[in-house]
Amino acid sequence: MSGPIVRDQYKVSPFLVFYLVHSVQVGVGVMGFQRISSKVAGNDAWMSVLGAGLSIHIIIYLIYKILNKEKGDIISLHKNLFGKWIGGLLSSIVIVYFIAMSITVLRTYIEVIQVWMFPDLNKWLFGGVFLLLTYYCLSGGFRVVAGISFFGVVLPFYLVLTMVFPIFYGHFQDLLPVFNHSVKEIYEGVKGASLSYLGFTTLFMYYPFIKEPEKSHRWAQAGHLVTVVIYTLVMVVTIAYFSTDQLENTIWATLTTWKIAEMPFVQRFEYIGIASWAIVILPNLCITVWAGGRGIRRLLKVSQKSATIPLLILILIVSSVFAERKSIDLLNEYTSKVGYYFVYVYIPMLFVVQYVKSKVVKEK
Amino acid sequence: MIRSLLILLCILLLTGCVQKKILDDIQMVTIIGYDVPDEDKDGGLIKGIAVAPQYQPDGKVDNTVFIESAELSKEIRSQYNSGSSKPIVSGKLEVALFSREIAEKDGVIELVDTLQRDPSIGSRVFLGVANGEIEEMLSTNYGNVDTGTYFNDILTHNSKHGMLPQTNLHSFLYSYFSEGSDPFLPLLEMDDETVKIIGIALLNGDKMVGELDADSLFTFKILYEKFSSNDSFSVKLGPDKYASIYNIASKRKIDYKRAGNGKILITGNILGVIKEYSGNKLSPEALKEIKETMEKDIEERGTKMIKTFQELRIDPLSLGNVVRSRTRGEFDRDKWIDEYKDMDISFDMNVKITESGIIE
Repeated sequence: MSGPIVRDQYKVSPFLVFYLVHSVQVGVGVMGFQRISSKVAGNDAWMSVLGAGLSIHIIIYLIYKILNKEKGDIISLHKNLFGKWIGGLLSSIVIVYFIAMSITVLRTYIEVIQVWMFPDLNKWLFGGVFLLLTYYCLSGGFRVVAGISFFGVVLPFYLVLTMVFPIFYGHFQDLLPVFNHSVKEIYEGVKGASLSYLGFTTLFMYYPFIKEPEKSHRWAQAGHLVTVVIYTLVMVVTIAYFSTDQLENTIWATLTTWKIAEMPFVQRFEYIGIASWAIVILPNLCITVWAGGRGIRRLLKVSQKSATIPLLILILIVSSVFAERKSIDLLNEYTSKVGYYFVYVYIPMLFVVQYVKSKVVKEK
Repeated sequence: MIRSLLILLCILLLTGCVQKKILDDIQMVTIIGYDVPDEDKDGGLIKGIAVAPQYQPDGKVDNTVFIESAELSKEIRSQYNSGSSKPIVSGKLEVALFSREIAEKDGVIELVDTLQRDPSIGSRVFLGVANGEIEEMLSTNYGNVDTGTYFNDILTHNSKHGMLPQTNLHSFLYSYFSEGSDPFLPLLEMDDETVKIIGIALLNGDKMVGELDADSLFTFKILYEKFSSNDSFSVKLGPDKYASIYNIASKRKIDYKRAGNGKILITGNILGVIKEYSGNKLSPEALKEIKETMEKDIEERGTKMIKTFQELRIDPLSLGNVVRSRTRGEFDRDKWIDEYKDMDISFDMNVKITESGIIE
């Protein structure tokens, strides 16, 4: 059982996994994840968000268990467990999932710009330019992707402070009574909240690129923990700021809370916030497209460059096809559903299969 | 070579992608008013009056007033555009007023909807109900200021330091959508050359059902929120004896007992300073008298106010949210209002006078 050989000069330090995990999670989801879980879990939605976050800590633990044993990526894992053909098929499904994720991110971001800032923005032009930038980052290899994700976390981090404005208008008694919803409703909310956490599964692709990968486990957990803390805080503030029915009508709750922000130098804070968000979106796209391209390269044995360029063109075309709110919502919903099953069903299953197989091989 | 070509391409592509809006070439509406049109003259369903300031080079401000009628309020905007030399934008909107007729008959939510739907309009926009002729109110020049800013200033300083409770677009929507709370809006009226806040309009859902006059606002604010203000409360002690108390800080506390039909006790606490006293000397006895009279006075007014709210079946004090936060299970608005209208709600007032100015 051994994965691809990656030369040391292309590897990144273990602590960078912190930024890789965190930056791929915080993407378009955080702009409006609140109402999805609030629809079912009401004022207890923050527990759903927290619950989803904590359960993913366990999934990350499983991922490390699998990969530490495999010493490779998901392509070699599939090949070893299921053989060349079935393994290859499963790998291509995972690759399609990564690509779908990048399409969702790009399209949703363009939609936000169109709705909030420039209704006449040309999605082809903007998407093209943005993907050109993505290609520029990707052409530097994985080390550059890791560097971009570092900036994608550090530079826009000040946006967390903007959550102070809605606190002044918060009705914190709205959080009471706690546990007013059944376990089932809260669990349904977990399902809704999980989209905003997705993306960390790209770990399956870049694991061989980490120096001393076993050591990066705690960094991955820490990166995820920061996401959980931020999401839970945002959720608590949102519940206090909006009344339940009002939140249900609000598509981008986080952006709507920015409308209350008042600063002497700018009338509408959203313009700064959404523009800053480009730095958050960039590593998101870079990591998912890189993972997709890397998968294609490993599967078809072509060069990464010849895999990435058609991939970027495909992303541009597909993401521009989605034109209205409804179809974009559907795209988000399906990506999130597939991601949900991938994370909560497929990864535990992989763990079990790998465990059983290693026992059987040993006995032989 | 390729790199320089790419740079050139970016320069060409990244400019002029979207419509430019240069400050000097647009009209920024700062205040908008909605009224019911005169049937025979205007037609349409809504009459919109928008005021956009024009800043002249010599420091003067000209207010341009646009009046149009249409079925939808955004349609009104395109009609404004046809009568304006520059495109009209709403990003600087500060106040939106509804005529009393609209607020009482049609409800305001359809008009508020266009405000909340528009991403360029902030959540801090003030909403208000205008008593009297709204067209005249907005067409008047209030000195060398932009009309929208003028209204905005009146409302801002009165809710920050005066008797007006905090209101804006967001808090209206919060209460409107909330199960245990009803919205209220400031009520404005034109008085000669100025505009005055004459009280608040009480809404049930989005329809105006009652009002409170300016004198009751002090009591309402004590019942509604924690505040401190520059306004004072006058106590009548005898035929010619008055005292004026300046409120430094007030707090409210709500106790809810679920036993039986439910019981609510609202306790208000005021820290006050005496500003004016028409008697001879402020003896400890006089202080005590002032304190007790004030407590009794506010309690009476508050209890009466709560009774009126119960009769109107509205809950502007958002007592429902307090009850909801302390009851398990589904909270149903209709059931709550049924319970609320005969609920035993008592009001207890504590006044503490800390200082009496620099004269004994």
